[in-house]
Amino acid sequence: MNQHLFNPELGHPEIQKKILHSIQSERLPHAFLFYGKEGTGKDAFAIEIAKLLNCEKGPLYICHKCPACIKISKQEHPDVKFVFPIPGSSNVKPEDIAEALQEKSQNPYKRISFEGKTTFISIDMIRELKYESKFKLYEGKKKVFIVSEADRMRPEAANALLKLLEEPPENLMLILVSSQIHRILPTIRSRSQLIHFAPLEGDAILKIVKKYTPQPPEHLASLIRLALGNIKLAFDFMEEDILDRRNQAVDFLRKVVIIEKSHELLIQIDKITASRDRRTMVLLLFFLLTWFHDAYHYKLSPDQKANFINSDLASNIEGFVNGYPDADYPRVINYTQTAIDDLEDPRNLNPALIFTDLSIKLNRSIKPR
Amino acid sequence: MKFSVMRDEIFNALQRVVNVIPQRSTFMMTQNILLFTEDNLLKLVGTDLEITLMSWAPASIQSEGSIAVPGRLIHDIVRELPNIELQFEVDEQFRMKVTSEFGRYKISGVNPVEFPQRPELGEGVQEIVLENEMFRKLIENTIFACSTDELRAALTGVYFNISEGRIEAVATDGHRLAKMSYTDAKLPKKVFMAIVPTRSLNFVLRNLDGEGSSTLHFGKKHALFELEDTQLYARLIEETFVDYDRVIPKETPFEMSIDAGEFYASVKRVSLFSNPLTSQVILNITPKHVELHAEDVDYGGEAQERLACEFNREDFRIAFNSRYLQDILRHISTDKLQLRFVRPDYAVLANPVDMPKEEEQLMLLMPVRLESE
Repeated sequence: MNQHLFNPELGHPEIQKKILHSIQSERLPHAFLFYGKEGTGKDAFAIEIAKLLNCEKGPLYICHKCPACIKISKQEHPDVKFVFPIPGSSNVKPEDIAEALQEKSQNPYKRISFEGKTTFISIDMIRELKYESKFKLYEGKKKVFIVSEADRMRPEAANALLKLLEEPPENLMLILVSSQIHRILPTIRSRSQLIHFAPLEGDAILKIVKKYTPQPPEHLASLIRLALGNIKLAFDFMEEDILDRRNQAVDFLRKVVIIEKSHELLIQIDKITASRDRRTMVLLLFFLLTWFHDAYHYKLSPDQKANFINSDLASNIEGFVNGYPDADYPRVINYTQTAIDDLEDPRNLNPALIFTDLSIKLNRSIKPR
Repeated sequence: MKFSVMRDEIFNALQRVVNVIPQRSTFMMTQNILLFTEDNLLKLVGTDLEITLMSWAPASIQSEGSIAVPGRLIHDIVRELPNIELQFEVDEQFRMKVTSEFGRYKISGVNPVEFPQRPELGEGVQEIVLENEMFRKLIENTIFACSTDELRAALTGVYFNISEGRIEAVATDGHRLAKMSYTDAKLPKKVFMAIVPTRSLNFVLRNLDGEGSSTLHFGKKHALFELEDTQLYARLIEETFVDYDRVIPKETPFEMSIDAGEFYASVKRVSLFSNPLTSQVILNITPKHVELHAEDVDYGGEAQERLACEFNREDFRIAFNSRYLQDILRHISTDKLQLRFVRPDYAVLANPVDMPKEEEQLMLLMPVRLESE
């Protein structure tokens, strides 16, 4: 079966077959839009396609050894461009971007982050792509431009990209990658071939994580479990003390339910939002979400504790469910999810307000009068 | 890798190559210069992936090798040294040691394998040998008309059209067009076309000597210009050029000839009084004279001049954007200029009179429509 795939490690065998088939029948589109949940290996997949189209032994095979493959792996191929959201130009040096790119080349599954700075894809970055597109190939067989997190394009950038999609040069393949496809302009969506990426299997994730971490932590399995099959998140978790972050979430919840001591809650919210790093705030809410999932799970079928995401906190969750028998979990989960969406909203909503609003709503749904 | 070289020799080569290093780039490898030894020469390569420059310096080579080192750093340190002999030594970890009588400098370099490949010209290369003077003329007399609008990518370069012993350079931005061609029996017969970006050609002009000749190689993806002491690879533009012959009028019933220098001087003076927004200059042409007129209604300035000319018809009135007109007049090298018209709202042709017969220069300019018509 493996002979039909160009990289078995990559997972997504159906998509691999589909792409190989379109190369064989010479019906490769000029633009792909990879979508699906975060952490399903879309960026890594896009980079492999660049190799597939440029490998000296291609276009149905990747050797991983020829100069083209090596350069693409190192993000040093002159015909392959990888664009991702960066902080505004006054906020970042080219060296930092180059460093981020290098990190991405070492592990294509990892998140590119700029210490909590707001990032976006500016029109200048798309203009650079357009400038690049007018030239002939430098040394490869096909130019591949990958736009990672394409939903973070500023509207003017998206419109500039549209021009490239409308009249694509013959030698160019454009791959847009997004985990929030609803934020992509419909005019861009309609001009690209959409490919959906389903979450990776647990085994596949474990293999990939092991490949990119020479010394995987002991609690790797529970860590992946906590990441809910999101491989990007799994790598995030490896970098910081996630249990600490989860404790913070539980702490927050504790303050929320006893809202009578509101000053303590406000101090807690101040602490959470002080870092201004939206990533950590989202992470906190994410753990809250897993807690509520587990609690709801327990309430519906109390005998299946083994399936908890937070299996190590089973007794705490049990106590919580029994302590607040009237809690409306679907609603609570809904509120938390909305708060996460608000935090990630490109309009820069005030985090302290989001948390305060969430606290009130949670309190009322967990302890209805 | 080990060699010694005189400071002035390597500095001259470095100066030519360092210019191509991009100021801001996320592609960090292009901040480096590739050094390698070949044919008893130290060769230096710099690139921004659009233009690749190679230069060289005579060196006494003790052992062959190559390395990529930070370009500006090595340029700056060599610049500050007097003309003495410099010793270069590279170890296996790609660290370079420069020794002079003042002391030593250590620069950490990169494995040269990671440096972008030197562009390959591939098969079916068209090779042309041109006198530098002619090559310069072909570029200078066309490049000013190139477009800067990236949406019309094909027009952001000069189009070289080679066929049957003739090389033709063409540039246009949709408002004007400049064409220069050179015929020589020695030129190849095979038909070949390529669009060379303006940036690359500006680098060619900067490195082109006054005398001697250069060899031009046109490949499928890149062009190579072999100049006196630099080799310049230019990445070509992918698009197809516009069919410019269609816009050049075949018959022009109105013809005027005039002294090119006088006319240029007069246009420069008169256009100072034109409206800065439109830069409009009006020509009223009669059989013996041409009258130039510019007026800035907003601020009340006005200018008028009268020059002698020869015109084959009765009165004719036409207006131009003076900046475009000056661009054209600046590139007329002969004493006499011929302007040919079809209608006041139709493309105008300009060409020098008495050119050497192997050269041909033609420029086209769209006039400005006059409100009264």
